[in-house]
Amino acid sequence: MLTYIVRRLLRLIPTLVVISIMTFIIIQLPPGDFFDSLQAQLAESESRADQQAFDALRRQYHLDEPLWKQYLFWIGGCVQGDFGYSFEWRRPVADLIGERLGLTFVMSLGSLVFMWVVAIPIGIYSARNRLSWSDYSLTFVAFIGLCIPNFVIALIAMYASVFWFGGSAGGLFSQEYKYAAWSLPKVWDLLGHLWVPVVVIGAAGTATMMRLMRTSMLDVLDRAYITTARAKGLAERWVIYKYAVRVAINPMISIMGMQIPQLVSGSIIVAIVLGLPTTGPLFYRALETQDMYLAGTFLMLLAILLLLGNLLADILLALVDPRIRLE
Amino acid sequence: MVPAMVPALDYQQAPMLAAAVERGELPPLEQRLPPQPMIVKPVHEIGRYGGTWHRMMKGSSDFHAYSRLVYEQMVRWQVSETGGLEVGPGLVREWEFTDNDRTLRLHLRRGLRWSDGAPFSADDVLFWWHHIANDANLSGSLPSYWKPDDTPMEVVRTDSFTVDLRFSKPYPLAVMYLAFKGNQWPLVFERSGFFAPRHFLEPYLPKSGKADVATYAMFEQQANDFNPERPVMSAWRVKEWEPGNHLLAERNPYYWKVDSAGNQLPYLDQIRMEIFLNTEMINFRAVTGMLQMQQRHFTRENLPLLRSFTDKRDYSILTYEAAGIRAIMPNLQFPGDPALEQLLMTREFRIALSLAIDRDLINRLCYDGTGRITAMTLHPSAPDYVELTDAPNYAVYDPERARALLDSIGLDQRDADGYRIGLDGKTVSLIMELATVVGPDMDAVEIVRSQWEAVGIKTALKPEERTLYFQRVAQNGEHMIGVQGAEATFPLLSSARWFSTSLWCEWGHHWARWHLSGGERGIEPPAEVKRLQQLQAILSITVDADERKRLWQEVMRNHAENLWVIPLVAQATSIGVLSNDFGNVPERGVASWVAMTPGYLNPETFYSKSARALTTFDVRR
Amino acid sequence: MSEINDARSTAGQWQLAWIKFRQNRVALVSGVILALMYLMTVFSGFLAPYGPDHRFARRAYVPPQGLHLFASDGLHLPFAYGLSQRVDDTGRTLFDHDPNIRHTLQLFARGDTHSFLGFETDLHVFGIEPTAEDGLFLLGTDRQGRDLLSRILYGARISLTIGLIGVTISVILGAVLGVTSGYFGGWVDELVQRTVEMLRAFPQIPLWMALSAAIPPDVDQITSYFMITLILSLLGWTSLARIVRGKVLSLRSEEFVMAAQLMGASHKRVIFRHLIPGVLGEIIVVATIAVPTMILAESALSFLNLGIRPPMTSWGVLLQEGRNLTTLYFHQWLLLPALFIVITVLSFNFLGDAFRDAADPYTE
Repeated sequence: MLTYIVRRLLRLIPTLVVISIMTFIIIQLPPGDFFDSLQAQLAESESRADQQAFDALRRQYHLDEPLWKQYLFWIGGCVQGDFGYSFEWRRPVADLIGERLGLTFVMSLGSLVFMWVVAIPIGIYSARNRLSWSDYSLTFVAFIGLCIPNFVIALIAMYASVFWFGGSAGGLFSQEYKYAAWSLPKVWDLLGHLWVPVVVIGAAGTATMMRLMRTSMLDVLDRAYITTARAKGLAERWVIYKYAVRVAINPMISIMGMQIPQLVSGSIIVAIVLGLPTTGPLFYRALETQDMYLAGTFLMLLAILLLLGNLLADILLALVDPRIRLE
Repeated sequence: MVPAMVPALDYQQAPMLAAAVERGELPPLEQRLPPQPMIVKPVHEIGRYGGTWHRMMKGSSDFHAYSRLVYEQMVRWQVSETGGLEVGPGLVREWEFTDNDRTLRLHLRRGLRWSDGAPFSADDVLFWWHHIANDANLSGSLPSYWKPDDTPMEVVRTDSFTVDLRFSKPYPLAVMYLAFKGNQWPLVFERSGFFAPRHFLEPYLPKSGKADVATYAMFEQQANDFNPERPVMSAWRVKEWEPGNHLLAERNPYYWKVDSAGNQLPYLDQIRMEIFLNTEMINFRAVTGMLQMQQRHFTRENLPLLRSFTDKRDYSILTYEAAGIRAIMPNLQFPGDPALEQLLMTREFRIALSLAIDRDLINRLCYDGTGRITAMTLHPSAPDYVELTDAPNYAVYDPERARALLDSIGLDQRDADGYRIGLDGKTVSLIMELATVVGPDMDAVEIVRSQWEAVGIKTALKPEERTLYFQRVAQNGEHMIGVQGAEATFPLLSSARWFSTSLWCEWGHHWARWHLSGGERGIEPPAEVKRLQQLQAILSITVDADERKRLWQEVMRNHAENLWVIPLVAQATSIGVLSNDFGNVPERGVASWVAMTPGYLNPETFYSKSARALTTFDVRR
Repeated sequence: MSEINDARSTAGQWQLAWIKFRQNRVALVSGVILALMYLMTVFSGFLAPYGPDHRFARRAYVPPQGLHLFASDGLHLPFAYGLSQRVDDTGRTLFDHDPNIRHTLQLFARGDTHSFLGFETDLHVFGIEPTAEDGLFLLGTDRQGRDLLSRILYGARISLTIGLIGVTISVILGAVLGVTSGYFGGWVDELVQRTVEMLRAFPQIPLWMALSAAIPPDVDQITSYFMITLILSLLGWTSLARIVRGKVLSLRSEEFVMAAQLMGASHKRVIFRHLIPGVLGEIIVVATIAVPTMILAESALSFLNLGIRPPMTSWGVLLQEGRNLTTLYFHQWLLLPALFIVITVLSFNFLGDAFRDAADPYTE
């Protein structure tokens, strides 16, 4: 097992290098640079800056050097933990992303928990009562969750939270806790706000998982050993939970590793709409303003996360399914 | 001359500062205030200490949202008795022009201190002058307003509190520019200023000899407006800056202004700027009653929504006049098509286009009827305000006359679709470019388009990203017709659309190029435009108020007769929200970027009526 | 009964699948709905009462007006009321029916000109007589007084076709690369595999966002449409390539392939006559599921102003209005394009599910 993991990790390294190059290229694609877009922004709000003032800044940030040199600066820094500088916020990118990463993970984990807690039982129930009305309606509801664009759900959630619940709209904290230090009341406050984005982000994933679980269960329930267990007189609940679910859940576990990175990237749009203090809106703004190190680092981080998630999924599968371990 | 002794006022300070003095963290108030603090009379009443001002800003490039609140200049804009704007004292106590108006002598207030206690003096101005403005690694060439007639000014230190600005010719505008650009350097991305804390920044200057650009990075970082360690002269100083999250500013214990009862300003303890990346957030905050006073980023579209919650959430709508004239500006030297260029240059064509616009309709539909229909004229708040008399006014709606005019200049033939054919035999096809995509301004231009088509001129709209608009207009001058706002309160300070002397001028880009390059490049303008260009130069050296008014009359008449610019609707109001709990905010004001609204409204006198020396904000449900 | 059994026992693979598919009612309904949607796209010019940019100057934010049959004086042909305006105390404009003005619905009415297959025509399936002020606002109007129904119909053109074209590109790319990789093996296989791995390592949404942000602002509409389609299809082909490759690998060792090769069939013939038909079923299923993903992605990107940008219209662009709090509070009908998205995506999903069930010989 250990050698397997190490081998996979080593294989990741060349992939990472190529990913970093591709990321850099993608981020550099838009014409112009941060200061061009800044100048236009300033011009619109009628403040004006001297072109040459920006030239001085450009030199400071090496923006006048050839692309490959800029890449090397950046990647050299990355390896040492310095992911570049954000022009807009004038802070190291590592600080900016790091500050928001915690909440991003909390939110994604929350969605993950929500998805599992909701989808698995419903999937099992649906499989046991297949082709009944409840099965059809649950499937239908699942489909709806899959088919409404998540930003529409987010908009509706915003509306509800402002106009029905009158709560502090958007964001993850009420005004009084927002800038306060962490404390138990603050955690409660966070949970009170967190459920909205968690549900919105988790909706599509829950739907998929529901159906997957259902299919998986149906598949297992048809197997010979289940019939045998029943024939032997085991209680139905025992059969379902001890045997069927245990096997049916395997494919789900394998996707769990992938789910976190997918949730993180899937949460971007919802976070933008709801104005959450997570990494998504920061990324969006970085794209808008061509704050290239911020955008590039974030993209690369997500790619790395996805690769690690894949790895985790494979490992989990190997752990859970004894048949694979024997290979 | 010994200044009059301080009247027998007991100066008071905010409770939180008094507590700090008790603890020995701050020197007592008499040692922090200058011998003669500046006295500011609050517009309504004496306020109370305490409270937090919650506002929102969009990001680092939206620095104006904070910087305008800490508007502290050498001299500043203030409201005159007539309600207009004039220049008043700030860090500079008084000033005079000497030497035939070629030297501006500034007398700084004595005894002022930076927010860390160090004394403020002329050395801070000179530091900026020598080490920042004249250092090519930090600043580009000197801004044009500091080198009138292409000769850079000289900044001379006469004594610790007196500075002389020497120009090669009379330059009365210098005072206006000091009120506009006389802030602490660098104002984030604007890179303008007039003073900087020498005691703080000097150690960070790269050692001489090592002119490596990269080493300025540290200097930049320390000088930056959002650096909490940077000393300031303003009412609040930055305490926390969490990019992407919020900015927290706290009162400056060394602030040098008091109110008319001797209370050291400001009243408010803190300003909290929440950073939002999603523009709609501000409306959310407003309708849940969480903003005390903000006008920036609100658009008129949301007015019904904002009004719907005024009772429930205890706030009112603030309306300030926006001092700009939205105008359509044809590129009179349009390079793309000589026939079109000639047509655009034809005065009657422009007049016809202007007559074809129903501004009343636009005003009603797009601006709630709050705009003003005017020709290209000064706004009443302008320092040189004079009314335009005796000039034709083409800002009226007369489509019949428009059609007749178009027929008369040879556009009487129509093509198969009913559009007029130009003198070259091709259908006249106009394209209006603008830098907005949505909003009432876009709607207004859309209505113009349909009205021009109604008189037979085929017109298309081309909304584009600002970057592109900027590139096409200001860099290349290749647009056909641009749409923008023209500053009407401080046209001399933001003169692009008045005088064709800036590359930004949509209607005179190539003429401006000619003017700026001394005739080497660009296209030579006609006599009337040359006169305008001259007038700007003359105005900038004329000191006599009456003469200035007369000159302005000429400028406005020039515009009215030639219609270089087709005005749309002017001075639509800018809206904002004002919590009922917030006091000393004037009901009337001008939303102007030159006056750094709300900076000129003395935000240091704003206060929270329910203040009980709180440091957190009570959420109202 | 026995006839059917006989038919089934001798039916080919495709016929079996078709029979199975036919039994799935929901999928049939979905298929019909989708067919109607796409027909609607083709004939949007005729179906829409107005052009997408026809602005009614004094009719901004009109709520959906239905058609009425009953008036104060009894039964009439379906008609729409004229509208009168008033302003409430918050400054909002409200619309009331003007009982004196009625516009009767006409079939095959004349209206805005639109082009169809190169012809210009002003015929519309239904409408009212053209008036300057009033219009037929079945689904209401937007901020600029444009009929929402018309804009939804025109928006369908982009929203529905981007998915199809994008998937087509993905399918071609994926199939070609998957087959090549699986069939030829060796370094070709390694190369394709690696590329697929690289691309799949990127999370879709951020990658789409980043690439869309790179589209220069001054390209014309057609070019930007194709660029966005390309971007969307970029990630789609990878999963298809993997599936195809897997299938090809398993088929490659089948006897009939060996037989064909022994008989001297060229690579091309083996690929096209034998391998691709075997893979076709999988391709169809994956493609059908990929279309709704692309539709959702396009609407999300356009919503964020990264995808299709005004003045082009797609359902995502129309939903941009929903970001405005005023819209959410006062003008909820502007979110109706979401309903169309949901219906389309639902239908594709049901269809794809049904295809998958039909193609799978093991489920009942």
